[in-house]
Amino acid sequence: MAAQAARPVVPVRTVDVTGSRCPMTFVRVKVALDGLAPGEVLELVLLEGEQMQDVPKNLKDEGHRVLAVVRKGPKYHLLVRKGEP
Amino acid sequence: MIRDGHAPGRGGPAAQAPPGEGRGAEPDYKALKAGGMVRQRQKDRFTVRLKCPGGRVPLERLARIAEVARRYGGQYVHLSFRQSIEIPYVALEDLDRVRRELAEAGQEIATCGARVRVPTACSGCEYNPNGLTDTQKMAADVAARFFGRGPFAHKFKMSFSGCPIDCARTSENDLGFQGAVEPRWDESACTACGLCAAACREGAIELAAGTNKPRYRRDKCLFCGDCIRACPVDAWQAQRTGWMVRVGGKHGRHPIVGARIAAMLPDANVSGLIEAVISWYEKNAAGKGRIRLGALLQDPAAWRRFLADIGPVLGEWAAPDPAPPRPCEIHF
Ligand code: SF4
Ligand code: SF4
Ligand code: SF4
Repeated sequence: MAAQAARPVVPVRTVDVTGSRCPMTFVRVKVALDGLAPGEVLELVLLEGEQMQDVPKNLKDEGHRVLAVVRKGPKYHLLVRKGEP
Repeated sequence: MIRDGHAPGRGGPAAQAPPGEGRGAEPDYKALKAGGMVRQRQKDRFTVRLKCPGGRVPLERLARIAEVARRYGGQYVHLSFRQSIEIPYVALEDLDRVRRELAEAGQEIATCGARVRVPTACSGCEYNPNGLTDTQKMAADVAARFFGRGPFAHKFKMSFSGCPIDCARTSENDLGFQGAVEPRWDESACTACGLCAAACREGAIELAAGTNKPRYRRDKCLFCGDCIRACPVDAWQAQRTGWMVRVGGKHGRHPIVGARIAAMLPDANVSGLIEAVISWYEKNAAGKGRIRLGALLQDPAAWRRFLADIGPVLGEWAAPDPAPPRPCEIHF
């Protein structure tokens, strides 16, 4: 989390998918990222358990980058920078 | 009970047969003897089981299979539990023609009886994101080297799974290979974000109070690689990738859960191990009747001898002091 201290990252928008279940979680994350330009940042709110087990690795598989993580109880706030298509 | 799967009158041998091979001539039963033709409850009808290692069938071959099934078989094909396409309702006198017409398209027949069967495999790492190892390549390789070997005391089955989810049920095979990856943590790259701990389904990564840095609990790790896939800065890397090897599993009337005898075995060592286990089985089951490897290994003395004989082939990948395969009774 040292990286964000140098230059604060400002998310374009926040999407909370903690109320969704597979496969809607996947769809909502995809739609949210589709609405961003490469390099822009999304704040994504995920629930511990299945969402945190699946979503971060899928983001990485698809070339996006998690810049920072803040945990608030069972919820995780991820700053995700959209990758090049 | 379905008795009308065969469409009568279609593709009758008399209509198709070249001169000299009609109904009157003695049919050539070479195909029958080679195996893979399973007698049906319907008189003189056979199910032809095709060799489809890992359940993969190229489209050109699939088209030929459909043609042959339409000409000689019933109204459907069936997918066997071990990933073979089966063509039911083939008449005895058509078996050799079926074999030849499939062979023209490169499609071989499976085997049956006390031999090395066609290996099964999951789709593996080519398009499945969970896949850690190339199950399809191994299944093709192993089929090419070992398929049909025997006869032994009983059948010999192998399977390949690409990750610990183990879709190919490696503990239910005489020899099962399940893909695994051993993770290694590089502290200098870690930003202490905590994603890996949240991604691990096994509780094998704990975060240290204060620093929030991961602490790896090897005893809980399943070697699935989720931490490697989740870490945004590649602080988790693959140290070793290979196969968890299980031996002596079977299903059937008296199922046995295979025992893990090796971890992280590299691709290059797989066929050497198969060769050693098959030879051991051949030698040690001789004179004991129709017995599967797992049943043989229930005897503590046989298990000790097996580990002593196979140990040198497993080398540094041998599991320390493994317990023998476990019976798993389902009928009592
Ligand atoms: S065993 Fe793993 S890699 Fe193979 S199909 Fe199942 S989930 Fe995919
Ligand atoms: S390999 Fe899998 S089980 Fe082992 S620590 Fe990583 S995520 Fe957890
Ligand atoms: S995910 Fe990577 S960077 Fe984050 S805590 Fe785990 S090892 Fe460190």
